[in-house]
Amino acid sequence: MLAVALSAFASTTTHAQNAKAGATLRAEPTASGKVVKVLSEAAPVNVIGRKGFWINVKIAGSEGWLSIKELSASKSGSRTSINTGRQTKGNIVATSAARGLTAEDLTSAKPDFDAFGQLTMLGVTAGDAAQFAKEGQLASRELKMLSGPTGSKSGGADTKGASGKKKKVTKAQSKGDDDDDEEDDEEDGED
Amino acid sequence: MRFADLTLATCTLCVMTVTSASSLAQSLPTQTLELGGKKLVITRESLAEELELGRATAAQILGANRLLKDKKIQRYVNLVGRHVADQTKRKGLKWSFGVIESSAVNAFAAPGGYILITSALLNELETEDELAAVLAHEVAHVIRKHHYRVMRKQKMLEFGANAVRIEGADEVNKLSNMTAQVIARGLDKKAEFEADRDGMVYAARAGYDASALYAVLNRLGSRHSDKSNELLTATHPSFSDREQFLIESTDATLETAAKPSPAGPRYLTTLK
Repeated sequence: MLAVALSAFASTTTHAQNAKAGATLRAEPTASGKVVKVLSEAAPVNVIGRKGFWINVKIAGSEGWLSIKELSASKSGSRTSINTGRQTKGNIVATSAARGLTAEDLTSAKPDFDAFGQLTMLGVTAGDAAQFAKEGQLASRELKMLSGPTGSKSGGADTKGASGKKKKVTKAQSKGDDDDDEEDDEEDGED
Repeated sequence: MRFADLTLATCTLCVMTVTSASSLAQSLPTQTLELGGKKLVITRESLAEELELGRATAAQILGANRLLKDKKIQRYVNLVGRHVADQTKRKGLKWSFGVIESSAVNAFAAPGGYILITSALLNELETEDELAAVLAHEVAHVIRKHHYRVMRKQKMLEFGANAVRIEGADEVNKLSNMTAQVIARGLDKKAEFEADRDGMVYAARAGYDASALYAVLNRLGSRHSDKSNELLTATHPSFSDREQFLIESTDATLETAAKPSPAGPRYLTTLK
């Protein structure tokens, strides 16, 4: 694990990948940023930084910001990496004696109900969490739940998989199983 | 996946039968019906049952990997997780988050609000935004009752008639082992995409960076596949599919919430 972290750190900043044809390179990481260049064809880019869903790139001599949506989907063997450098050097939680957790480890284990009791004691109150959020200057936001991919073409069918693969569970099959797709309904006071 | 299809089909049959029977006794919490000569008790979804299955699931995972003995880290993870959970419609649950000592990169959502994250996954994260993003994905599974709904069907199939409440040590252990089978098999892809998308919104509501989950998936996907993430990759869609789904799910409002939060650096300062 340590070796993995270090090598990721050492490989610092650049990863080869492609921007789509028609992608717009902008001077700032916003959709209203000044246009630096519009790509006439797909082109390899070097990622040098990231802000949210925007990456700072170099394309054919120009530098600017590109929406991650304008990167071509990664192919096996040439993964698109938007992480540029890693601050963490090595493990932060000691796990030298830790066991693994494969499917077999999980299914062959004996349940530990004492440990479950300890787990339930770890929970904190909403008041504590709110105080903690305040100390971290976390500003809560009013945001609606999303209904599905809202990419430029697809309207938002939430059963559509990422790469357009057909879903194995159809709406009809799962009827009654996820009929409350909209999460926002008020529910139970369950305490 | 085959299993999921089978149980869904089975349940559809049950639901239809109960619907017709329910006109006879509308207010009963359970229904008994004959299926292929076998008596089957169908329970309605209940918080009691969800918590029973959550206990069984969490105890089983804890039987494989023990809780990390570091109160400071456990409390920190609970504060982040609870703040995220409080952005959902199920604030009333007694949410508990636990770090387990494990060399496997993974996190688990047991029904009822018991969330476990491995120490190996903590070691992959860099900021509080990223921790919140991972916990939010698990919280979203609980909100949608993804595992609960699969497990309760499996419980009906395995425990049969009158299995409203499982009692006795052997039976309780059997129930835990059943939940482990469900966890090991994983959910269908749609449920995982939903948890990614919902979780992204919950974390952003809490004030965290909406793009943090994307960054975590991207980083984990850039790693070599090995024993340490074997169960995670076997039970989830590919990292690149999940990244693609997330990026296609975002809207302009959410994109404005894609900024590192002021609390981000607290992760490394707290865990060190």
